Amino acid sequence: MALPNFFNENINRSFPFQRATVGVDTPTSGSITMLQLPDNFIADCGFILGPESGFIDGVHSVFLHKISRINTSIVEYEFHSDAPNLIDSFLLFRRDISDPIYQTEFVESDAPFYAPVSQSLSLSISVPIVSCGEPYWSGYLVTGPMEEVVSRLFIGETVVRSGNNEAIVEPALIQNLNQSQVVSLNIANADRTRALRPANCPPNSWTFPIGYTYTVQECIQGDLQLRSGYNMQIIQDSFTNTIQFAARLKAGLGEPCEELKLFPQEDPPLGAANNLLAGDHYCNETLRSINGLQGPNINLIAGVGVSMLPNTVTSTLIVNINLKDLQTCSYDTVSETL
Amino acid sequence: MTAIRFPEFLDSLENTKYPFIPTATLTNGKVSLLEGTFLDAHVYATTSFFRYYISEVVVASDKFTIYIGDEAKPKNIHGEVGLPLTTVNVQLQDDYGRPAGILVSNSDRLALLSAWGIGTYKFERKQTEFCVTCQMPIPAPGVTGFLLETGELLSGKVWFVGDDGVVLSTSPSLNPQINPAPTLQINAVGDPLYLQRLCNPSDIFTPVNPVRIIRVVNGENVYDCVPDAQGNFNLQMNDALATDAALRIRTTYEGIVINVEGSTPSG
Repeated sequence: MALPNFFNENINRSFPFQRATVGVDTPTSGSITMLQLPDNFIADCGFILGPESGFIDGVHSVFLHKISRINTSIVEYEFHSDAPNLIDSFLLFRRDISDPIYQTEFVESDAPFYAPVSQSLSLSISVPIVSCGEPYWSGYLVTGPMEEVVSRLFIGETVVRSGNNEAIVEPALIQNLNQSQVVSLNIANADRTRALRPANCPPNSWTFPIGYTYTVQECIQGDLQLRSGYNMQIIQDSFTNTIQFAARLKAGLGEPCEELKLFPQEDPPLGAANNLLAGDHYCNETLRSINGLQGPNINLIAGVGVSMLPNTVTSTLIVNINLKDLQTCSYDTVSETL
Repeated sequence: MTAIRFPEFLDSLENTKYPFIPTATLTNGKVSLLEGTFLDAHVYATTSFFRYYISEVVVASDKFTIYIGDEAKPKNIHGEVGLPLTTVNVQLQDDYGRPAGILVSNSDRLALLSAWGIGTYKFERKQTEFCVTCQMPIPAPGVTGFLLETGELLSGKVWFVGDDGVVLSTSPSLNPQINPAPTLQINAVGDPLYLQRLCNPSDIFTPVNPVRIIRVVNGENVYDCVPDAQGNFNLQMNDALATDAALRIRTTYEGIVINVEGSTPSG
């Protein structure tokens, strides 16, 4: 006797679902629940969970969420997962009722999206999102005889999973590639320390929100070159497969002549007297010493013949050469008659 | 004798060597794996993949560990099972904790391994090689992760963030004829106001309005004097008119003394 092939066997057993999660007390005819899903509805399936799926073996699962008879000719199968990144991403397989038995279909989900940074800081501009990376997940489905499905599902009818232990796919049919690769490299800079103004001075204000991490570029894929920038030494050790980044004065491109912007649109605060991005002053823009004496307090001492009168309200110091305590010469102003 | 015509998938594999190849001996001469210890397997790894087999089983008092690999790296991936047995499957992972497959079994079947006793049991490929259908090749995507000194592995969508004086920038290839790949430039330029950030609590830092100009008012003449390139302001007497001027300005440790030289009435 010839042995049945793999698909023939599968339409007579729970596989590819775990035992007792489908095919329980299935009625011989009429409507069904997901737990009663007939074995011959699905002959095989398999899924690849992508690098950004968040799927954890032994914690998350893949399951058939619902089967819908959309119209007279179309039936849809919707597979879901409880992995956190897949909550809004499901795989939808579609069959025409005229499809032959063991029809096979491959489907993949959408991929993660991001907003390009070139526009993201222009707050008034609506930014289109762009796909980047691998699909969250993908899979294939092999269905059984469609006439069996049609006989159970009327037009517009849907069978939906109602319990956590229904229609769970065998774990060995899942290839979990979560964390298996670097999908993309994304570059950003955290904000610099911004200068504060005294309480009695108007605060600095910038044309962009401060205190954020600013994206430089997202979704770098393929080859990438690393370059030593200012005060930076990159050491590659091929033996240990290690790259070290060492901050070293004057290494790489040396010392910069001016500040580096965190992102292209970064500018000094509005009304700034200089081009410093943090909103502070250059060293030579503030009085740091008098005659070489540094503060914070410098004593000005009035010696003989001098008086000093401070006015803290107007920040004024009046230095008066009054010759006090000095012996002054007296001149005779009487005119002489020649 | 009656037989189940369409046994469940795992039941149908119970008395076969699957997921091992038919020629696998399933014994190293000291201990043996029975047919049906594992009912199914799905093995994959991000590195080194060629004819995988169970290379070693280490049984300890609180767990046993199954190592799987190829001839080049016999202990490439592993799965741990805690004792007492509560698990039904063995989840496999690589050295960095990334998923690498599954061995389908149940607690009754896994109990066989714990019964071997505490010790290390090595196997050769001809004894425990997996069927090729259980070994899933995966693409070689290039960089699979960034391993930090702490042992933490970063993968997926990875962010490089410059912080605390490090600024990252990107640019197109500097030499596209030779290498068209984009360039990531790493700069250590410092954060001039970083000490301000270290104040904890943050409101302990009180900004001051620094003196930037000294305004000299001499009668109707007003002069705004700014510091020199070093931020220094020079206060000195004007000796242009007379070499024996009486006004003196001296810089001492106590401060700057302004006085007039001359005789006091008592002197």
